[in-house]
Amino acid sequence: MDVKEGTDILQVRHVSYRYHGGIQGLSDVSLDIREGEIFAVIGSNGSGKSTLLHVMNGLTPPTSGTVLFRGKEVSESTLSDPHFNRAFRAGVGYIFQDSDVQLFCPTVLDELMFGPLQLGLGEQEAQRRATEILRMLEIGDLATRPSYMLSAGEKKRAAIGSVLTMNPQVLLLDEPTSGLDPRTQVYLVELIFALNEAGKTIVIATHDLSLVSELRCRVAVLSEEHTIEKTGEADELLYDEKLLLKVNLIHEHLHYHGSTAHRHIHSHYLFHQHDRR
Amino acid sequence: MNDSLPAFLHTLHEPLPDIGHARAAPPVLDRALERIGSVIGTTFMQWELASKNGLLQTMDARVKLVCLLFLLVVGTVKNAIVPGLTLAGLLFLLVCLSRLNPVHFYRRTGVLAFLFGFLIVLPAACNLVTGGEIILPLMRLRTARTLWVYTLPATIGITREGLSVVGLVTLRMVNCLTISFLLLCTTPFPHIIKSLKLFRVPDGLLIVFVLTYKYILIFSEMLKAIHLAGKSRLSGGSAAGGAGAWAAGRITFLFRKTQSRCEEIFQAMVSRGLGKEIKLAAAGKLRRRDVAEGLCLICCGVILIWM
Repeated sequence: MDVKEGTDILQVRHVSYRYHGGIQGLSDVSLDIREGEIFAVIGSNGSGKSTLLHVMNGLTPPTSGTVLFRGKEVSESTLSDPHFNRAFRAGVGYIFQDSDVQLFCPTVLDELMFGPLQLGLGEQEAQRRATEILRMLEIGDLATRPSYMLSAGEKKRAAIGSVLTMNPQVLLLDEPTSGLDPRTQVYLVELIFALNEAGKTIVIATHDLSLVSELRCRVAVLSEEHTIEKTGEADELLYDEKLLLKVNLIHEHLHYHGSTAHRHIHSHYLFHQHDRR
Repeated sequence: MNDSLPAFLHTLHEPLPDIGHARAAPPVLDRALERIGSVIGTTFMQWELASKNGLLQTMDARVKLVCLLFLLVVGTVKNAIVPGLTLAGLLFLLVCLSRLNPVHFYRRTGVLAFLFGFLIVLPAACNLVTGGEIILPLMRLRTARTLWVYTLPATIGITREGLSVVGLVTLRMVNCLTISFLLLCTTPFPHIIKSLKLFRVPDGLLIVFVLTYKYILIFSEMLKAIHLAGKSRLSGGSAAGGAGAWAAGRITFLFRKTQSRCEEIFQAMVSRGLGKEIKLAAAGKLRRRDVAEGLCLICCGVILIWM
């Protein structure tokens, strides 16, 4: 493990993106992801979190702006260079929100072997990696099962495994906890910590504030105007009520206790401060 | 958890094996998928977002449908170039008044009209199909020949009457396509569907149209997501039959997803009270402005018939 703490591994410079040539998806977004850190992009639905991850993974070319991986530009033209493309795909793994779109091989084992085989690793090495990852993710008994016969949690594990066998330096996770039961969510958080301790850079897009609170990482807040509202530490940003209200991650909520009405800020986990009216 | 991580995951900068001069991606499949997804998505979104503040966008969908259909019939039945050109001029005016970009608009209709209007009818310009005065001889035979019921004239060439036929059919095609695109580009899809109730199209059939339309949107989004998921893990030329496995896996997945989506939609419809008879909400009342605008367009059509 030779992590250079503080070096920027992924840089997003003034990136803007428009869907179908019209609808704004991202507006002048700039970020620096340091090697070996956990970084979260938070924002309400439709703020552009997934689009930002797509752009960072070189899947969607931005309308303007640039993305750099280890100082090299990630664009359609640089990705058409086979050497850079392979280094980039091996270096940056993306775990999609919808595991279904990511699982396409006949069985879970094939799924896990697919990535290493694309990188040019031998069949035996790919098999060894897949077996180890299956064991680590506690899905060894699912190795021969087709992906459509898995539960949501199992699909998520298989999707994560399919990327981990490529041993990427950066992991982009899009809404990793959505639709998962609490036990799988806890497992996932532990896995993220373990991977980070192993030197992996983790970038998470989520609107799950409890996840961000648990990870205690650096956070970028995306506004509903699709721009970066603020970047800072989780401890600082998660207690900034005004900011979270502005970007629609928490809301004011009126309810009654007997005949007394209360209005308070509501986030389902951090705030529940009553203000008697 | 950290102890259970496989040893290879602790290696950060492992060298990649040399696999020679592999291509970055299968360009044809890659581009085709990307283009299909983008074209379907953009076209359908454009129809969905037909909300500019132009003449036809603000007109009631029922009035628009009736008027444009009337113009379509007029354009089809009139057998002369001049009324066809006048109709094309009127349609151009409507395109401009609807604040559509004429260059983009006519580029799209032009390509289709060239392929399905001009190219298909082009042989009719020849005296083998349309007799008449030859204005451009193409080939000369020693004598005229008869093959079964067909006669090959001694001089084969393009006739004045043939050119007139080609021009007329192409013009009709341009006008028909312009009218269709005008309707689609200025009317959100749900409004078109509701306006079809005017022609007593059964609600059940309308629901089928709506579901088909929504399915195409969902399908294109899914296709795009699948393509991106594959792209994010294809690091070079597909080794070990990777491309084949990918394509086969995706076809199976799409088939299964489609099947399950159909079942889910049907269950959702049943849970919301789907019975033997489907009833859709009717469109609102017509405004005076809609009627006036509609009458103007109908009058234009009547004038074209007299021309």
